[in-house]
Amino acid sequence: MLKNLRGAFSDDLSIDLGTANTLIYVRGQGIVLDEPSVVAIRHSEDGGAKSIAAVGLEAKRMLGRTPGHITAIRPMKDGVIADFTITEKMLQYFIHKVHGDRFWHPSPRVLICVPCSSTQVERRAIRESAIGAGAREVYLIEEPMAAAIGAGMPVSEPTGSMVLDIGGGTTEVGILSLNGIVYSESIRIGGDRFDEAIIAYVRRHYSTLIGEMTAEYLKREIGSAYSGKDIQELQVRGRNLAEGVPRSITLNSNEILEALQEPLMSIVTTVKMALEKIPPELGSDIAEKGIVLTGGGALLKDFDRLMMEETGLPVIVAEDPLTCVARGGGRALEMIEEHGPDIFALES
Amino acid sequence: MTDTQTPDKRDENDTQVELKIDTTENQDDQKDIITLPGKHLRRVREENNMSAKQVADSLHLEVRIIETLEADDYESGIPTIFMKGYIRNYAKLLDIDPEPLIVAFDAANKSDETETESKSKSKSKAATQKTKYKPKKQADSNDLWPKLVTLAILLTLIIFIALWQFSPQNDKAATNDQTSSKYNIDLPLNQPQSMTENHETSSGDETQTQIPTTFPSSSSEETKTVEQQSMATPSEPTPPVAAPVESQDHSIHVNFKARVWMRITDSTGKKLFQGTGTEGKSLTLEGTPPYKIRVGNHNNVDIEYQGTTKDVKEYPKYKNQKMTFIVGGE
Repeated sequence: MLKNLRGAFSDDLSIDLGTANTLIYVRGQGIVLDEPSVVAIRHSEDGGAKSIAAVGLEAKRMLGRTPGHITAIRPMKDGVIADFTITEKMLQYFIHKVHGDRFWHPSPRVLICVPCSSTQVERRAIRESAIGAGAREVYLIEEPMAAAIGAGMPVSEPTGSMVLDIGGGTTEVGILSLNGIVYSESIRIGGDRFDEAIIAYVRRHYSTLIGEMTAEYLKREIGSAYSGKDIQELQVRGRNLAEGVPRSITLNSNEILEALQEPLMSIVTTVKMALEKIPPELGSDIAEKGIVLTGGGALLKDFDRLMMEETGLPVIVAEDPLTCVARGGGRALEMIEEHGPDIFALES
Repeated sequence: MTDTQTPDKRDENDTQVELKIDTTENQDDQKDIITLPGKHLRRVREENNMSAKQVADSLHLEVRIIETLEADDYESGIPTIFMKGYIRNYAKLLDIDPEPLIVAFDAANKSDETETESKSKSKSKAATQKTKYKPKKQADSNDLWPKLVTLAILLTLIIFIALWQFSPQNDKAATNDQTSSKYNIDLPLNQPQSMTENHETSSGDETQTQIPTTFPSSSSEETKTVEQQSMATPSEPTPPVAAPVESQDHSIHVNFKARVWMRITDSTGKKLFQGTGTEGKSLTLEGTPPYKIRVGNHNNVDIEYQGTTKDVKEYPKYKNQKMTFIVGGE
């Protein structure tokens, strides 16, 4: 009763605690926060105490450009917590930012989306960091489910729906029916791995070292997953390994496509494996309707085309794929409010 | 899902397409885009000399779905997300901008949904909810009224709890202050003053008889205090201990057998005592009878009045009120 009473005064939050970005959806308000999952830490001169210098967008701008006493880090890696304390601080900052610290708003109820392959230890770490950040009650929902709900797929119907969520750290494949996950698979390949692949390619072919931000810029601007008719070029700067000085290099979209082949093929293989393993009835439903792509990776040019050609199934990109998981989590909270927590196989 | 569409319905859809084409044929392209995305796609496809089958093969869709899209049939049972996705893919295939088509689809779908809703009112509610999730109206955490109501209830509860729980205890300090001037209580620090009070207000017999009972321990300090008191009032001779109780003696003596909250007022409404007495303690009060005694635990208080000691509950109740008794009245 007391929980319900307190619930009347607090907002429910759905958090997509992603490797690249953290999004927070507030019930009744929509997406209220979308910031990079980056924290800049300032070390004291004696090397003892640490303090938070910046969080989110401000901290991301510092990535790779910090002086000795500041470290900009990403506390999430491969979809799970790599640094518990920093993640907790980051969550605390984000929750405080959206929820405030007002008398009228006691601790919120929080739903966090977790990769389906995350271990119990990793889930516990996420739960405890959320509680440490001020959450009253924590629910965990698997990302494919949240992504599918957020995309607007008919997950509650007795029909198979397949979602492919390509996040920053992980790629999740989920086949859902009747508000449950029939099959799910998660691989630790995502947008970050794409960036790493580009960095490795440039290093190998141009003997030039480029930073993560540059790699991401290349991916966003001229990256593609399927060879197109027009070839785009982009000039970037990096440190020439032979000369040791910064140099400009020009890359084209075909080169980026070549660089991305390995992670892309891993994703394709995972999807094909999932299609092999599901019951034929669900396979038939998916063959008819298609696969839905969500997550930031879905924005890679012609990724849907690649999946379509590789699987022979219709593939569509969800509307606003970056926010699907957070929106889905918010929708899941509404459904929990309406039908009770038993509607999903939630961990609470 | 869409496999269940009957041939009759398909014919009907085809007729609808034709009708729509006829009515909008003379309109400009822009208007076609805004109103009917399917028709626009079909026209561009025909301009590119592509068949529906070719498009279906390229998009890995069934020809039936392409026809449904081109017919702008939004009641085919295909979820909106897929319809939009197919339109986007179709537009990309034809090298046209998908966004105006999506806007048009949203507008058309919205109006179509409204029509469907009005039609389906007579149909079963469950079937409608199955196709589209509609959360029932419920109080949102941002609504003001639940907060206000809850706050009001909370405040009321807090006030009541505070009155019930803390009021007697809070009065304890005040009671002690009152004790020093109003009555005797067996606290050593208060004793000299209270003794003086008794000597001044009563005939003294009652007080004297009470001294041994009130302080059965008869500690040296207490004895000393009594002696001091006797010395302080030399003009008033100390009455003998066994002196008979006078009929004019209206003092009331209260013995506590447990921790009890009590309030005693006299007939003039003067509050003689209010507070909590603990086990083994006693107090003597003087006022105008009858005395009105409100007591928390009436099983553990003895009242001695005019030489008679009775349990407080043996006295008559005041206007049949619970826990309120009259001493010295009729």
